[in-house]
Formats: sequence, C-alpha cells, structure tokens
Amino acid sequence: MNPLIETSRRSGFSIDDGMIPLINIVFLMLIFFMVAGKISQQDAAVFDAPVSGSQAPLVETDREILMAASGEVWINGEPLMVGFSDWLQANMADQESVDDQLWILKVDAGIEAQELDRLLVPLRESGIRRLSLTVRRSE
Amino acid sequence: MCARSNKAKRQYAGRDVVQSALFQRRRTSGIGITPLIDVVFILLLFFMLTSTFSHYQTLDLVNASAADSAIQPVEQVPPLLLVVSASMAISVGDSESKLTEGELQRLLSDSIVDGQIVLVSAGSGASVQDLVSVVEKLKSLGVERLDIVPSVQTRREEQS
Repeated sequence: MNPLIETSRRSGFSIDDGMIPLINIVFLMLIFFMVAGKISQQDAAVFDAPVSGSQAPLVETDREILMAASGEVWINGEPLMVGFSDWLQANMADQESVDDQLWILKVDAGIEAQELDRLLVPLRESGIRRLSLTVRRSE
Repeated sequence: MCARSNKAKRQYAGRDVVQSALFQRRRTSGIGITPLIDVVFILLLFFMLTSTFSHYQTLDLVNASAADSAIQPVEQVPPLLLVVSASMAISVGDSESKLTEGELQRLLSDSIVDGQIVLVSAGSGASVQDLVSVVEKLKSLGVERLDIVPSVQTRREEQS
C-alpha cells in the first residue's frame, strides 16, 4: 500500500481533506474567469489598439479589417492575398448600397499612419462613409 | 448458560460485521471528489483560454456630414488641412513650421466660426497613435466637422 495513504489513515484524515484548499482556489479562479472575462471571437492577429478616451462602444459587425504591426491585412479573419482595391471591387460589386455599411478598422497603434491610406483610399473610392477605428480606453 | 452466552456473542459479532460492511459501502458509494475536481479543472481551462479582458471602444474616422461636403464641395470656405507629424507635431498644409498650442487654438476657433471643415492628414513619421491623439485633441477643442484624408505623399503619387 502507498505509505502516504497508510500514514493518513492511521492519523485519521484522508487525502481528500488535503485537496480541499486546492479545490477552493480552483473554484475561486473559475468564478473569477466566468465573471470578469468575456467570451468573444479571437482576432486573426495580435494587434495593439491605439489608446483613446472615446466612449463609443464597439459595435458587432461582419465587416472588419485588421492591420497588424507587420502591415499584413486580414478581412473578417481571412488573410488578404490580393490588393485591397481588387478585393473591394470583387466583393462590393454585388452590393447595391454601401452608404449604411459600417466598417470596423483594427489597426496597430505602432504602424505609420500613412499605411492607413492603403485602406482608407479604396474604402472612400467605393463610397463607404461609416468607418470606425477600434481603440482601447486610456488607463 | 455458557452455550447461551456463546450464541449471544456470535450474534453481536455478526451485527458488527454487517454494520462494518454497511459503513464501508456507504463510504465507497459516496460522490467521489476526484471527478468533481476534473470537471472544475476542465471548466477553468475553458474559461481561461476563451475569455478576454480587453474592452474596446471605437472612434469614428469619417464624419458623415464632413465626408459629404468633402465629396461634393458646395461651400465656398476652403477646408483647413492639418498635417500630423511624429510626436503629434501639427502643421498647416504644406507648411514646414509646426504650430504651437496657442496658434492651433486660435486657428481652430477661427475655422469653427467660419464653418470650415478640418481635414487631418498623416505626415512622415506619424504613427496611428499620433493621428488618433490629434483627432481626439481637435474634437476636445470643439472641432465637429472633421475628416481624415490621405497623406500628402499618397495624393502626390495618385496625381502623378
């Protein structure tokens, strides 16, 4: 027999008694993650959102463009393999009105602002007016 | 007498065995704590891996009314173009000189009175954070008709 079990039986407490503090901690961690965390879809790439004092809440939309620190672009979680203008032309041709469409931009704070022109110019040319940049709250 | 006491002893011994067996059975048939821990650990892992703590907000890049006016210039007042360079330095149009805080405030108060649209463009070395900070600063100074336009460099490339 396991000497630990034998000793614990003789001293009058079981192994389970020693596990209770561990279970307490695990339960507390579980409650913390359940209450404080928010389950949401992971971004296609890691990006550091610019800091802003804006209070406008993030609206869920199926039109999301992500530009990572490396300059790579993802659209709705898919990597962009062609030029952005070509992608817009191919995907916007069958859509009648783009006036009400909201596009969410997720851009890394560290990249050069001139890199934004790669996205802003084709979006403007295709008539999209509602454009929001994802920011994080200043601490 | 002796036989009677032996019989009673055997009965007591039998009762002890049954009680002991029942006690053992009750102990072993209780809900084990190990499966409970397993489930809790799995739940903990799930919540740790899937939940995020970052809460994002949004900043409107294009003001619809300003965008309309920029596309169809119906007003006589030309827009005010501000170029943002590194470290949030702001200059007017193609001018090289950077605006001081006082100059910027004076310029903006005049443009608000005149109903000018303020166009913000990225200069060399400016990061997205610089651009966002300047847009926020302009909004805090009372600019409502604000729009972000392509950088001077991009516009020159388009023209050529």
